[in-house]
Amino acid sequence: MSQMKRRRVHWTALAAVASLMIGGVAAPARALSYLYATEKPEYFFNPFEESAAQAVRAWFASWQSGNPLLLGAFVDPKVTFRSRPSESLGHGRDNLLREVCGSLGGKRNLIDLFVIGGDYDAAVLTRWEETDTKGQVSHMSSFFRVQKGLIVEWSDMSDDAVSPAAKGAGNSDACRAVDTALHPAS
Amino acid sequence: MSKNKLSRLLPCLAAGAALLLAASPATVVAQPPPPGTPPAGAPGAPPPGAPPGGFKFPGLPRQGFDNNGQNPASYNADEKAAVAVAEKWIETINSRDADGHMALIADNILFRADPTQQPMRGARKYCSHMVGIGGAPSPEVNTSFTMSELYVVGGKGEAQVLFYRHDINGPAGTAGFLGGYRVPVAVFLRIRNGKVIEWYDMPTNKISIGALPFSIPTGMADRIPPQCAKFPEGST
Repeated sequence: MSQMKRRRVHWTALAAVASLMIGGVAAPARALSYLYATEKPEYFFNPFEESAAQAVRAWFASWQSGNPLLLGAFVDPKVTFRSRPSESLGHGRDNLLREVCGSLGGKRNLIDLFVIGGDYDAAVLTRWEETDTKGQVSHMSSFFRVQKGLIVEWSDMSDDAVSPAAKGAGNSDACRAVDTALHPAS
Repeated sequence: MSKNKLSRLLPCLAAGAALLLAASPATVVAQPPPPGTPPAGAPGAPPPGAPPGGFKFPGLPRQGFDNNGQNPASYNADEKAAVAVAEKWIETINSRDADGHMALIADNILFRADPTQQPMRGARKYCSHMVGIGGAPSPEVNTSFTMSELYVVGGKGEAQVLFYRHDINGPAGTAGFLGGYRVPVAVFLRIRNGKVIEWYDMPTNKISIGALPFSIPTGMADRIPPQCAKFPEGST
């Protein structure tokens, strides 16, 4: 065996021993660790997640303001939605605005927001509370899907045993504003 | 091995071992723990690699005032139960445990495997779909799902889980151009009484069917494989 070959054998042996000592070869990897993050500071958001988070915050802000047309500015015209857990899915921004206009306004406190997104789609789960005029607090969560800064999917879910009562006041100022915007006088 | 060869190999091994020991954490001069710190390994002791006691992370820049995380120790009972279901959902897919997986699924589940699809109803169609994408009832498909982020909100018997999943749909050279590719997917599960009542997958990057510049037929759940016929159809 040449000197060079002997050196190669020695270093191969050394590498094998080192690998065994640090576990690189001997330790079989687990198929699934179930280790995952449950906290994602906003500083870690990628730009798509940041954009989605801002759209959802704007949703809450405009809802609280009572202005349906401002709310609609953050919603995709082809949105899929469900305003109450017991209802079936609705489609389209116009229908969404007609459905929620009577419920807008009031105190909505956004507590938690968690976003997962990339360059095509982002999903957002929120925890929030609503306080009605009698001081009754409802604990709610909402799921949003956001694309390019617009909400393309929204559904509300109640985290109380009983969902809050619908507040439909079909002739409110907000609903009149929606009607006017959707059916402008010719 | 001759004595001569052994004498040449031993210094190499010794030098390697010395290098490893020098690089290992055990050789770092230990600092005394702050007063009141539990001994390593004791309940309440910080995990290895954690910052020393008393260290406070500096605040990170942020735009919003909402919370963007939660400590699993603060889960309420419904949230804890829902996370267990979500973990089992992944685990049974990876272990090809069809019965275990379908045991997590509500008879009338509402689901959609991609945002381009209309939501579908019923455990039977769900089962059919999972066969199609290499889920639990399909032992021959080499699929692997992992979970990287998770958030849960719930109470009073129901909870919603949003988590980040990365899928390997098969080795390179299989599963079309997806073979070997880690597909990032946001997953929403709505869970009531230990069963998944809603499931929505949302690929987050341009591998999503909806982002492709061509259309793909997505009628897999319309074909009912024999092993799925036993599950209820569901109703709207």
